[in-house]
Amino acid sequence: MRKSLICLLILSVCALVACAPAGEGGEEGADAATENAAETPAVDAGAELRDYAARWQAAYNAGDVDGLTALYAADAVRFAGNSLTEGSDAIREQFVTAFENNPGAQIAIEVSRVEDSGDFAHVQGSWTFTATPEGATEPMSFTGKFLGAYHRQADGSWVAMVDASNADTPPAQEGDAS
Amino acid sequence: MSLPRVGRRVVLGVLLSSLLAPVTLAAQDGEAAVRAVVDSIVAALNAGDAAGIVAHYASDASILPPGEPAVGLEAYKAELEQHLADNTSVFETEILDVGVHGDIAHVRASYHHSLTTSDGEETHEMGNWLITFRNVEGDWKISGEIWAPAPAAM
Repeated sequence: MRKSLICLLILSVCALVACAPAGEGGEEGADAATENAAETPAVDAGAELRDYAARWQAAYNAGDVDGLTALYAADAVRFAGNSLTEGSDAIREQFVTAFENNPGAQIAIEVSRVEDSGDFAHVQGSWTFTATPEGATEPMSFTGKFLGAYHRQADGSWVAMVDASNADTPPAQEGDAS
Repeated sequence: MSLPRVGRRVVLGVLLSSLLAPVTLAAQDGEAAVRAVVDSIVAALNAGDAAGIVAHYASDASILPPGEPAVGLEAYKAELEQHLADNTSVFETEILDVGVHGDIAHVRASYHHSLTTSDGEETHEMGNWLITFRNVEGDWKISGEIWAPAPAAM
C-alpha cells in the first residue's frame, strides 16, 4: 500500500514538475547586453531566466495555478512522467489536479545551464520535490531534472514553449514487495 | 557578356530572391539540418552504432534519461555501447515540432522503441522526446535531451 502511494506520488510529481530556468547566462546573452548597454537597459537572458525559475518555484510552492499558467505560451507543450499536455488551458488543469492530489507540495529548482539566441533560450536544471502522501506520516522527497525551450515576449517576459521533466528514480513496479 | 532579355530577367529574379530570402532560408536550412541529425541518430541506433550517435552531440551535452540522474557525453556513450551490445533496437520517431531560432533549435518528437534482448525477450516503449541543439561553427550539435515513456494507447 505504501509502495503504491509512493508510486502515485512519483507519477504525479513527474506530471507536475516539468519546469523552468534561471542560470549561468548564455554567452550570447552577455554579448547582447554589452551591445545594447549604451541605449537600452542591459539584456541578460541568463538572469531573466533565473528570475523565471524563481517565479515558477514561488508560484508552485504557493499553489498558485494562475501564476504558473502565466509562465506558459498559449500553445505550450509539457511532458513529464507519463503524460503529454498541450496548450496552456490543459496545463492549467494539470496544475489544478496536481495540487488537489498533493496539497502543500514544495519544490526547489536549480538551473544548471541556459543557452540563448536573441529572444529564445533553452534551460536545463534539476528539482527536488517534497510532499507528504495521504496516509504517510513523514514527508517524502524525489529528485529529477528538466529541459525546456523558452521565448521572450514583446513585453520582455519569458514563457515556456516546451518543457519536459523526468524523475531520477524509476517508478516502482506493480507488485513490488515492501 | 550579353544575356538575352529573358535570361537577364531570370538572373535579376534570382539575385533579388537571394537578397530577400536569407533569413527564411537560414531557418529552413536549420530545420532541414536538425531533422537530418535526428534521422541520423535513429539510423545509428537501429544499426547499433554508438559512435554514430555520439558524433552529433556537443562535448558538453547533458543527457537527461528517465529513472536515472543526468549524464554527460562520455558516460552516455558507455551506456549506449553496453545497451547496443546487449540488445537489438527498432527505434521509430515522429517529429512533432521543430523550432530554429538563430543559433539554437529544438525538436520535439514521439518515439516507439522495440527492444529484443540477447535472451530473446521483447519489450516495447512509447514516449516523448525533446532535443535541444546549438549551432557550433556551422554544425547543429545536440546540447541537451530528455525523454519520458508514456503508456501505450489502449
